[in-house]
Amino acid sequence: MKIPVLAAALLLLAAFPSFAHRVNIYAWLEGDSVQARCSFNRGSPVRNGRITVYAATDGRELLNGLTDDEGNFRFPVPEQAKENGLRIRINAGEGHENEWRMEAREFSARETAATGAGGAASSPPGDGDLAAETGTPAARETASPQEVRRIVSEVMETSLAPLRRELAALVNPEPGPREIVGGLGWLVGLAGIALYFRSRRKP
Amino acid sequence: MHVSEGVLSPAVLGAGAALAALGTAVGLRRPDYDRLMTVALLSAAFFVGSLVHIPIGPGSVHLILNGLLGVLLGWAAFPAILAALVLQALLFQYGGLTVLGVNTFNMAFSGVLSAYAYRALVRLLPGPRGRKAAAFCGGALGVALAGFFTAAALAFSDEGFLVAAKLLFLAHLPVMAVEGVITLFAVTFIARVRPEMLNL
Repeated sequence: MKIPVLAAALLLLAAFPSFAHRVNIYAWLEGDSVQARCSFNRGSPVRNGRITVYAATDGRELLNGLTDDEGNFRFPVPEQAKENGLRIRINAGEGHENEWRMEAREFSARETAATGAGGAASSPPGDGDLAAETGTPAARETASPQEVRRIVSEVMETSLAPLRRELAALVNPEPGPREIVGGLGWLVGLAGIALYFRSRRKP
Repeated sequence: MHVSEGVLSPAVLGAGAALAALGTAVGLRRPDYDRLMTVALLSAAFFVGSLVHIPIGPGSVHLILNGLLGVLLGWAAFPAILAALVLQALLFQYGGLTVLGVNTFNMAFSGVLSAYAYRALVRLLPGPRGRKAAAFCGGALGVALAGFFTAAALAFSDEGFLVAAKLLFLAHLPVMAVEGVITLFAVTFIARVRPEMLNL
């Protein structure tokens, strides 16, 4: 009787390993998908946290899923994101929730950049075609614009990864000495003000 | 055990705010200006206690100290905890301003209840040993009851009461032990140096 209950409790605990007081979420666009990273205070990742993605304008639920062992969740950019923007919500259980908003223009900006680059790249092909016609070997060895774009974005993402981590830490700061000392000052100050008024009332 | 914003339904938020206001009114009914600095200092202890993580057990949890505040302050724990939670919400982004009422009630009312339990136990078991046992129980009970009230608030949202209550209770077992010991030492020390503080 007791052992199954204990086992069930341990299983539940394994599913929710952390009970900090705040859950952090940070999401960004990476190629054609959105990457979300969720953590508790002190950087411990949210395992098996439930992620729900909504359209920011009308609140329609678009998709949902669970974070992996590093607190990451990745999903392809939904069609609606370009007009509506996204609201990504993490529920880590026990009343710990947080959300991250992504504006519609983040997605449309990327799209116009991609088509703009495509347009710019598609005008030189005139020369390329010419070169191909004249049979220059260099023309055949150059990668297509799409390939170049893919390679560049891959390299960019790997070199940006540490920056993303730093940025995530900046977006969700841990309380530091400034906040602690400030809070203590407030409490003592409030008591001081009350005592001051008390002393004025007493002759 | 800080419930985040946007989790609870407006009805629960409203009820929590009303109950917290009521408790704060009771706590401020007869302001004892001689004890005001004590209230402020314990409020500061509560404010900082949430930063003390306890690495024992399955999760990372933090001190709450609501049992200690209840035992030492009685109903004055309400304004003390309210002030500390406002500052935690503004400076640490723990909890939030809309859930302030619910969080205040969960922490402070459980502290007040453990104060009554403490006093009943002291009467039941007179002597320094009885006081020690009562203080330990008061500190541990504050955390357990806070978990119970938090689970009850969550029961009205999407999570089931039993699951939430069980999880909160198990995760906070080490916190209960630690806070029981803290309250034991605090009460023993105060009984020695300023015994009049314990006669509320």
